Formats: sequence, structure tokens, C-alpha cells
Amino acid sequence: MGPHRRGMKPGSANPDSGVDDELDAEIEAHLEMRAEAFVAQGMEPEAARSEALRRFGGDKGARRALVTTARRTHRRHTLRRLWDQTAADARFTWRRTRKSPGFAAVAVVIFAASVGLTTTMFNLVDNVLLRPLAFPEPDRLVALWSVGEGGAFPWVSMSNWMDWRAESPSLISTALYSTARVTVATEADAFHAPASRVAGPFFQTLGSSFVAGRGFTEEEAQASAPLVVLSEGFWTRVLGGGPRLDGAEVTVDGRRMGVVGVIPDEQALPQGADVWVPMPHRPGAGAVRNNINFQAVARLQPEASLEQARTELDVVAERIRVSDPAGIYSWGVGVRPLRDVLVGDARSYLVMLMVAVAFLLVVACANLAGLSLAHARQRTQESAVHLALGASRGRLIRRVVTEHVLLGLIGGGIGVALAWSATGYVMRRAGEVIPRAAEVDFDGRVAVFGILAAVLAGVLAGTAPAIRASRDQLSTLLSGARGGIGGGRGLPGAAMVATEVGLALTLLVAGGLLLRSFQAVISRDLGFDARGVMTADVSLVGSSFDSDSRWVDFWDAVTDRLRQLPGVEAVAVANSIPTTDGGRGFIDLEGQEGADIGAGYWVVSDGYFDVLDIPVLAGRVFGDNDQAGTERVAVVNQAMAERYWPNESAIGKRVRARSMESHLSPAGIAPWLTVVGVVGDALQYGHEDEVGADMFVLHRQVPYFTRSMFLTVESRLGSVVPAQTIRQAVHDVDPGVAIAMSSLDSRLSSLTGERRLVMSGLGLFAGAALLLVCLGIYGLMSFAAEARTREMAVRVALGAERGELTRLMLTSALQVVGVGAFVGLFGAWAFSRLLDGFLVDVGAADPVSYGAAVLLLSVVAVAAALGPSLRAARQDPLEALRDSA
Amino acid sequence: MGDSLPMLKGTLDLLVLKALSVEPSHGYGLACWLEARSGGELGVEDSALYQALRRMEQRGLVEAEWGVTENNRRARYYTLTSSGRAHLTAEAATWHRYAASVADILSAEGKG
Repeated sequence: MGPHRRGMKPGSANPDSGVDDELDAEIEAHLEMRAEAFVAQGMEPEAARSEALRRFGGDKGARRALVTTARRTHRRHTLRRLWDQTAADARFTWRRTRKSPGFAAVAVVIFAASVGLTTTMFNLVDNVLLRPLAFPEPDRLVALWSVGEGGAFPWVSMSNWMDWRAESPSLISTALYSTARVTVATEADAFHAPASRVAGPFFQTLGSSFVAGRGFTEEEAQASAPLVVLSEGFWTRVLGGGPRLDGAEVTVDGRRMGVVGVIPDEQALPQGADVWVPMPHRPGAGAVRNNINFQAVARLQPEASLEQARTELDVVAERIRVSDPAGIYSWGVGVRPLRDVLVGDARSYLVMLMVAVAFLLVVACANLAGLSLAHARQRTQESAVHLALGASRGRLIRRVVTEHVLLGLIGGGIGVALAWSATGYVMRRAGEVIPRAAEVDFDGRVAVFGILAAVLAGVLAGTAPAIRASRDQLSTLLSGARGGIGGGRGLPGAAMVATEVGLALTLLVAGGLLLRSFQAVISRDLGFDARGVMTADVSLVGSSFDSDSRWVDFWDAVTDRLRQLPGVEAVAVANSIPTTDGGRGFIDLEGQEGADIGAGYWVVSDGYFDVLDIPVLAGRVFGDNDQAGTERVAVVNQAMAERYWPNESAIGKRVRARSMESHLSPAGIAPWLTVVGVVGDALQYGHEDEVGADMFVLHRQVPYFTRSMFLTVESRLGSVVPAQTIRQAVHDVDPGVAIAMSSLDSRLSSLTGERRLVMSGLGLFAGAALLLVCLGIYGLMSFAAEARTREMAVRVALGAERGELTRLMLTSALQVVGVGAFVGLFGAWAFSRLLDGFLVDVGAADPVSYGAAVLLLSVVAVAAALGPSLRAARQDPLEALRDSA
Repeated sequence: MGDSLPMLKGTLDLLVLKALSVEPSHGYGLACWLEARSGGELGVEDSALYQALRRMEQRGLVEAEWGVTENNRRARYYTLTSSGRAHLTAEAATWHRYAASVADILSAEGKG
């Protein structure tokens, strides 16, 4: 009868099968006993057995009921026992903590910090990447892209969009929107607001939910109706609106518009927009097809797939290619989930940072495991006694794990609370850079994630110490031998420290790569000098100067006024400045008309190159002789001169701004411009820009492009000209214009905001990991020093120098670091793939980053190990031998 | 066992508890005890007995543990828990009251 030894075996893989066996065994025993009794009364064994079975009775149902009851009982008991044991473990942990609060305190702090950071990171990832967009059925919302030979762009042209729309049954509806800036005038003030001009059934496509009112319809958009939709924040905060619209009106770009609806901030598309105004759409052919200035959003039919829509639209794109070959770029169509478009590049670096913070969490766990191992002498005694008294190994393992999980929960709880309280700060910091991050809120699922992370961390940290505790035998304890400690081998926790070193190295290398890329980026020569330059975004829309004959007058009046102010070195206006989006378009070179070449197109005033200190390389820049009626002139940059007129002088060459100025003649042909000068290349979009061909035209000669300009004012003093001074000068000319100011330096640094954020995030994680490694090595070496007391004493007694002993200890520390670092180098190499797109002028295998990280780790390791090593070497050999005897 | 008395609901539990209040026992022992005490009058299939034992184990009235019989055989021994004891006391009192009132009625009718 085998089954007897089975039965109350806790924790077997399938508890129910154990229960079944047990029940079988019990019944079998019963039948045998009864049969024996019958045999004793003189029955034949076989008859006895069948009589016993008959007496047992019960059909299949009865047996099943019996099994069910038995299983239920078993489960109840198992749960109950688990609970009792966990409670006992908790009490045990409490007692231990009171005896040695140091370890618990360190553990709680480490858990709190690592879980806090992990939770914060998850909160960002959750909000930006995981949470659906704030629209109904958001996964049916797609963005339509233009796909050409040069790549895919999230921009479309109006004519293409209209054709796509007419011929794609997969789309329920689709709408067009632009990213724009409008001037909003109130009685007190005129200011800029981020806005969008929308065509087609925009709000219907998105399924916008209105806080108040409604959206304008496609017919209203077609008619350019004087209606405006506002974001809730703008309506309440800026305009002081209430829950009802009450026929409110607002002046947008000089036009009185009725506020027709208010939408929640999180439904703003494009993100951050506050004002939506109607835009009519009309077809166009030929070159117009190439003006991909708009974004398109569409809602798919419930049964339509992305693939289906793509296939359908490809057919349309092909037809356009054939029927309207004048479009130089034959744009294909891309269909992508709207969320991907909104999130953009943030996905890759958020994933990278999430992996990095997970590494940090593992470092923290390894750290605690290591500390706990080295600190386990007391636990060793207790567990050895428990084992000797018959406690099962599994039970001991669970107790130690429970201990760590409890510490993890306490620390994790604090960490989650910290993450919660930091939400506002993170939102502000990240919100400027990461799309959707401004909406970040901290909710239950983030808290649950944090708690789960804490439990997992506790289990991770507790497993190794638990297994070790269960292996400790009473014999080793009683003999007092700590056995086999030499050269770091066999040190409990050495593997943990090596793990920490490996992961920390990975983070340090990644941090180094990012730092070096950042340095490479910001040390690039921009080609212009932003220092001391104040910029002012000024729009004449709706002002008293708002007619194209007066715009240039306004700019001349303001620049004259500013030039006379003390401390002002130079003043200019430009339709775009470095960091803002300038125009780009197709150009014609004389003799090569119609070729597929393009250039940046900048409208500037005379002093522009002075203000930015862009050097004049050949010819001249604009001067007083260049007037509205004189020869139309252009200045080009070096890149354009070298690309289009290689090996000859650009001066005197003629060029047409084909796509920018074609509206100037009835025939749609742009007038010729004569190149009069060549200036140095400037990275117009900041440090991460590539040099491209740029041409500059004089504002007086293209007055129709000067309705909104940037004032640039260079200071003669150390600091920029105060914003108030500039505002005063502008408002002296016309108090009704909107103006927004910032220094060019701050504009430039905001361009690298993403890079800064990613770098500081990773830097924080790497720094924390380094700190933990430091702590881990210190703990390990302290333990080793103590454990090797006897060995050291013997060595000293045999005449070893103390310096030699210190070196011995340090060597063993460096051995552990070496193993970890070796593995970490591979980890770093693998991790650096996640940094793709962030590395500039630095290879993923950059030896400087790797070398610096290894060096830094080694120095930290030696520093952390030095104290314990010196202590070990310094002790009195006699005393040490007496103590350990 | 067609000629034996049918069991009233709940009675078997009560009898098993009573048996266990004397000493812990395995299922077969309980069956023998019941047969001996009732003179074979109570027709209980062994499976019903185990059903009752497991049910009461689930309710925490009895506890079980593997042990060794006098014949050196392993068997599952049932013990009364403290709540089982309390249950026995309460149920026995109820049973006595019930039986007494039923008996009263029956005898009164007989005199009637």
C-alpha cells in the first residue's frame, strides 16, 4: 500500500491530486480493515473484500461528493496555514527589525527610492504610450501621411486629401487641420494663442465631446463662418468663461468670432492648441499638390483594417500620379494609428528609460540580497536551529522571502507615495518635452503597478538569502567555520555585487554615450551667435497696421525706434528665426528651370546678418539701396552657393522662388531674383539641424510676407535687452499688436529639451545604481573583513606586511568588480541599441564612454572597499586570534 | 440493510461527534462503534459516514491526521476540535429536547 506516505504534503504541484490520493488511501485502509474483520469471522478473502465494498456502498455521485468536500477542506486548510505562517513570519520580521534596525532601514530606503523611480517612470509610460487617446473608439482614429521617395511625412496637401477622401470607403470621415498661431484680442490685451485651422468634419471625425456648445460643421468651415472652438483651459483660464457660452464672442486675427464650443484640454488636436478656426478647402492641381502643409485625421469604418485603407488609398495615389503628373512629388499615402503620430519619437526613449529603471530596480534587489546575505549571521543561527528542530526547508525559504517582501512593501509603499507626490513636478518637467505628458495623472493602476513592483523586488531580493539560509547546517554553525573564504570566492553576496556592477556599468555606459552625444551636439558651431539676442514674435493681424501696404512701415518704425535705445547693438526683423519653422520650397536656377531643387526661403530685413553675426563671405548683404522698386535681390548661404553653382561665383546668378512667389504674376511664374551675396551657413533649427541650402530675400521687396515677423534685438551689454523695453517700443507704434518674447538662447536650449530630459533621466538612474554599487561593495568587504579576521591574523603573525593585506583585500574586491564589469560590457553594448537616434558623433561602441564607466566603477569600488580593507589589515593579530578561537 | 432504521437528517453527524468525544478514531473504528452501539439498527453505508466526516472536517468540527492502528496499519484518525465539542453539546441538547417533545406528543396521543 504505497499511498500512505503521500497525503499532507504541503505545496505539491497540484494540491488536488494529493487530496485524491489521500482519500483513496483512507478508503482503501477502511476496506482492508473491514475485510480483515470478515476474514476473521471465517469468510473467504475474496468474498470478504466484496462484502466490504458492498457495505461501503455509495454510487459514483457519492464518491464525487466526497472528493469535492475533501478538496474544499484541503484548500481551506492550506490557506489558513499559509496565513498563519505569514503572520508568524511578519512577527518574526518585526522582532528581527527591532533587534537590528539598521538593515531594515537601509532596505526600506533602497526599496522606496527604486520603487518610487520605477513607478514614476511607469506612470509616464502608462500615460503616454499605453493609455488610449481621449476620444471615443480611439483605435479607429488614424493619421494620413504622405509617402514619397524622401521618406514618410505626417503632412498632406489639401488637393491630395480631397481626392483620397472622395475615393476611400474604408474611412467613415476625415478632416484636415494645420498647426497655426492666431492673435487673440481682448479688451485689455492682444496675444498669440496656439491654434489650428480645420477643414472638413473635424470634430465629428474625432468624436469630440464638448464641455459646452458644439463644433462647427464642414459647411461652416467651407464658408469660413465666424465661429471658433476653444479648449477648456483657454476658455476658463484665459478668457474667464463659465459653464455656459451665452453667445460669447472673441476677436481672433482681427475678426469677431462667436465661441461655438469648448472641448476638454486632453482632446486638443494638434496637442496644446487652444483655438480652432474654420478653414475652407478647395481643389488644386499641379504644383499645389506638393504643398504638404496640413495634417489629416480619419476615422476607419468599424470593419475596415489599416491595411485595407492603405490598399484603397494606394490606388487613389496611383491614379493621381497618372492624371496629374505636374505634381513633382507623387505622394503615396501612409495610414498610421493617430496615437503613433501624436507620441512620435517619445516611444523609443520612454521604452529605453523604462528598461533603464528596471535595471536600477534589479540593482537595488541585488544590492539588498547582497547586504542581506552578508548580514545573515544572525539569521543563520536561527535558521540552523529551526532546521535542527525539524522545520522544512521550504518553510524556511518562505520565511526569509516573506521578510524581504514585507520590507519591500513598506519601502514600496513609501516609494509609491513619493511617486504620487512627484506627479506634478514630473508633469511640468516632462510636459514641455514629451507629448501627452502634460495630461499625466497618477491613478490606481499606477499604484497597483508600484505595489506589484515592490513585491517582486522583495521576492527577488529575498530569494538568494533564503536559499542560503536553508542550506546552513547546524554543524557548520556549531563548528563556527565560515569556510572557504579566499580571494572573494565563496563570499556570500559576491555574485550579487557582480550583478550590480554589471547592470550599473550598463547604465553608466549608456549615460556616458548620451552625455558625449550631448556635448557633441551643443559644441557644434551654429554659424550664428545667439548670445544677447532677444526675439519677439509680433503679429500685425487685427492691428491698425493690418493692411499689406502698411506692414513694412510698421517694421521700419519699430526697428528705428529700437535702434535708438541705449544698449542696443543691432535690430532686424525676419519672418522666421533660428528655432522656428521657416519656409522651404522649390526654386528655379536660371538655365535649369523646372528642376527638382529646393531651398529654405527666409524673409529678413537689412540688419539680420548683423544681429546674428552671420559672416558675409562674398558680395554684400541687403542695404539702403535695395528698395521695393529696385532690382529684386537675394542673399544665399554657402551651402546653396556650393551646391548649385559649384566652382563658380554665385554673385550675379539669377534664381526664382518658384513655389513661394508664383502667385506674384498672373501666369503663376515667380519673378527673378539676383544673388548679391553669400553668407556663412547657419544651423537654423539649432544644434541638431543639418546644413541645407538657404536663400534670404529682403522684407521690403516681399511686403506680402511680412504680416507676422520676429523682431531680433542684439544687446551691446552682457545681457539681453529687457522684454519690457521691446514691448514698449512696439506698443509705442501700435498698442494693439500681439507680442511674445524669449531670448534666442532659451529658444535654442528648448530645442534640445528632449535630449536633456532623456540624459538627465538616465543620468539619475546610473547615479543611483552607482551609489548602490558603492554600498554593496562596502557591505561585501565589511563582511569579508570580518570573516577573514582569522586568516589575516595568521598572515600578520607569519610576518605579512599590513600594506600587503590591504592589497589582498582590495584585489578580492576588484576581482568581483572585474567579473561584473566584464558581463556589464556586453550588457552595455546590447543596451546602447536602445539609444539609437540619440547618439551624435559617438559610436555605440565609443571607447571613451566604456573606459570612463569602467574607470569610474573601479575607483568607486576601491573607495568603497578601502575602509573595510584597512580595518582588516590593522587589527591586532593576537586579539583577533583569541576572539575567533 | 432494508430492515434497518432510516437515519434522520443530522443524526449521523451527532453520533459521530459523540463517538469522537470519547476518543479519536479512524473511519472504520467509527463504523464499528456505531454498529456496536446501535446493535446494527442504524443502517449507515460506510460512504455516508465518510461523507459526514469530511463535511465536518470542512466545517472545522473535526481534525484529521494520519496515524498508525494497533495492527500497525496507517489510517486517518479524526479528533474532535473545540468547536466540534461545543457543537456536540448544543446539538445533543437540542436533540434531547426534540426527542422528548416528540415522545411526549406520541405518548399523549396513545392515552388519548
